[in-house]
Amino acid sequence: MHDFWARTRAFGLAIGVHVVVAGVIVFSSMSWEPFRPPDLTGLTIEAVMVDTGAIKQRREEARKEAERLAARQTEEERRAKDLEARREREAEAERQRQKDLAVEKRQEDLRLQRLRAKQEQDRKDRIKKQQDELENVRRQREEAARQRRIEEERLKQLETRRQAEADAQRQAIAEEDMQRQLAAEQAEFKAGRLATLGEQYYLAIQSQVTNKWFRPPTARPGLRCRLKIVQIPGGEVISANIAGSCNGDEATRRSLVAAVERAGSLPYRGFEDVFEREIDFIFRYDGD
Amino acid sequence: MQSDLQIWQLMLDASWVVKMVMITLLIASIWSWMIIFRKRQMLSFAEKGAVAFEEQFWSGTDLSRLYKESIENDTGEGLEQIFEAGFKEFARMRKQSGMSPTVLVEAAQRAMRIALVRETDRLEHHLNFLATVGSTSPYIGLFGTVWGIMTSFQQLANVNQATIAMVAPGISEALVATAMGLFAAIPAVIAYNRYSNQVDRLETRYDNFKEEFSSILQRQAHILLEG
Repeated sequence: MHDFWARTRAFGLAIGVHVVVAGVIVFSSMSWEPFRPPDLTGLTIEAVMVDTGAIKQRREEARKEAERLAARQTEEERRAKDLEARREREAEAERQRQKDLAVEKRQEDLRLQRLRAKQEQDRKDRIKKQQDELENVRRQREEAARQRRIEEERLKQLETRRQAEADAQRQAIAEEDMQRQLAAEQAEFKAGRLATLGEQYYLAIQSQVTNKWFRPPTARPGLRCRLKIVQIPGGEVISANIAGSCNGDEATRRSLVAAVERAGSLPYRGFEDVFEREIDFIFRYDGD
Repeated sequence: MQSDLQIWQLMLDASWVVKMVMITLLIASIWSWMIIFRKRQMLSFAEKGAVAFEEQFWSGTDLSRLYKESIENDTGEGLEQIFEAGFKEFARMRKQSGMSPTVLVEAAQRAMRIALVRETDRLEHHLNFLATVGSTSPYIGLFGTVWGIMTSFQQLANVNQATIAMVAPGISEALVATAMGLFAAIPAVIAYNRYSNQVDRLETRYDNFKEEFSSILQRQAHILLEG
């Protein structure tokens, strides 16, 4: 029954998809041009038109020729008149130019006079400015000397202050160090007592694996190997392998995997809360 | 009025061969969409079921209780079926005396393999129809188009002054068949690729579960028969 309904539903959805697509296609084809039958009559009419057209064209050409002649005559008359007018305009322009030249010469004279006066003035200004500059340099030098004296004074003061600050800081650091050491000692003390269940679990695994481990002669103290163990509820080991970093050689790695497999099951009772199907732990060996 | 009927006009004016092609393609398209919707629902259901069952299985519950529960609700599929088959076989073989652990585990494994194959087959069912539609419907559409163009050129043979306007409607109506073929093929190909990938992943998951479960059974067998 369930199957029947699922099939009907799927059928309905499929039909729905097709209806939607058909709708979109019809909608988008609305703007197409409708088909028209091809127009076949135009071709014959064109052939008749050629004959009458030629006669009309010849008549038209004769009329156009006469018009062109008349137009040329009037054009020549107009050109003669234009020439006369231009000659008069040029004479007038010449007279005007003479007048302009006279005016220009007078202006030039005036300009030269003014220039000479200005040069004299400039020379006087320059001399005065040089004297001023000499005076300025002298004053600046005096000012710089005074500044230097003040600066030396300030430096001396700064030096004394810095020494005082450094002394204070050294004392503060010493104090802080002492406090930090105290805090670290306290934390260590606390951690020793309150190791979490998870840590105990890892310690238990570590000791179980170590018990089953036949240490190969090449394994050195300081060995760190990341082991990945898959187990099932109850602690039975399904698989074990080296995952990632391991600073032992090939024999050591193999011996570790063999140790886990020999152990067969990991501690479970009492650690149900921290049980994980995949355990990722770092095996440590620091010498006996 | 005339312009919005055009596409229907084109289809109705087509020759009967082209019409047959178009009807075939329409049916193929509807069918493949049906399968697309069905499979999508089925695969997502199977995936959710697998996730839920794995979580239940690895949470550390008692296996025989889990077996009883899964027997009681008979809608179980996928992982649940594999688990049921393996556990049932294991329990039955255990009752017979004189069995070695290897034989016990092998029997359970065989039962699980059969269940796995059955489940995979169920998931893959109908998928090959999508592949067929995806690969053949463009050719069917093309056949319709070629036929339509052939006939529309045939009609040109007796006319002295041929214009493009005389062949255009015929070609246009023939091209509708190709469009329909592509419309049927594209979703089918996409869905086929997607679903076969999903089925593969589910199968890998089932296989992994089967291996892990049989290693558990092996341990149990050793404990039962030796200890």
